Amino acid sequence: MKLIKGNTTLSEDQQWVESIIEKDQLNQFNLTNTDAPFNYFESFPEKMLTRIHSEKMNQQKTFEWRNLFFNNYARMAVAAAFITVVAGTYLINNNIVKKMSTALVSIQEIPNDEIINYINNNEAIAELDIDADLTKENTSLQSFNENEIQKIHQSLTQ
Amino acid sequence: MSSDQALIIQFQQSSNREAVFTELMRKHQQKVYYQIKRMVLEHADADDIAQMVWIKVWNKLDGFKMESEFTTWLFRVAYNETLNYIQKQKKQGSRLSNDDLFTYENATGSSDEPKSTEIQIALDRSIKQLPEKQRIVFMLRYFEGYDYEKIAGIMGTTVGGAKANFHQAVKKIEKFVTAL
Repeated sequence: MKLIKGNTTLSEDQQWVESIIEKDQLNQFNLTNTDAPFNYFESFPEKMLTRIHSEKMNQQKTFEWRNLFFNNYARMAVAAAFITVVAGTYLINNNIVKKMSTALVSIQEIPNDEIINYINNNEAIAELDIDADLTKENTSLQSFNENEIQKIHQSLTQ
Repeated sequence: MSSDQALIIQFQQSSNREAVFTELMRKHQQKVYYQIKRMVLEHADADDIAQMVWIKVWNKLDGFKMESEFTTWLFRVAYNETLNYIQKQKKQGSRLSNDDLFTYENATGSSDEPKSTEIQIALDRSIKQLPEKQRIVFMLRYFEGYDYEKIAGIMGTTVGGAKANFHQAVKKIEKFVTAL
């Protein structure tokens, strides 16, 4: 058995292999490992074209879906929706804060005279309510409970 | 029969791509199949891989720039697909080659068999047990008669690497056969 090194030609390489194993046995090995079912190669191209067609259809479907979600109009719609949500949230939050602060400021900024006037006016209304209760027909002190009598007494003495 | 280059130009320019592609398939399908089959041994596996190869070729042929020979590129696609397939099978825990080999060996091997059958079995076993790269180089060099440049192109390696793989493969086969 020889060992071939360096630049060897094809026939030299093949001769080297055949010096180890008989050519017939190598051919037999090749035959058993390259056999294909009957008519396989005749039907293969047709089978492949059918498969390529179905792959193309699948790719097209994926492409359509992708287009549906990622075309320019869809992107603009998504962006517009996002901006609306952000802006809406900002405006709503801003309005609530504004209202609250306005309410707080307005109570603090009411002049004292106005508050005193308001109390005085409401006192008169409250007195009128008590008078109305007392002057009702068939009203007796028995119909009032202790607390109510106390309240009436206080308002009359003030 | 048109040359590969002419067919590819037709494919890239023509509206009737399927007819051109069918011609390319008819021209090269057997060699692609044999290359794969020698690696995976089972027809079902070889058929699966061959289909994946031709789908890839269909998808990529538009961008093929004729910088290398079409067959070198085609066999390289086949080689890479086969390696990927074998790797996946290994990950899934099934050994592609040895099961079939042992079945064949048990069915035919006995002490009364003639010496040639023993050598045949040993040859089968030794080639099937070679690492993938060495096996493919051995097959392409001995059975297909490709030069080392083409083999290197298919495998994406250097000419020196291809030669070294062939040398290693033959040495291992020799060791296996002489051990009988």
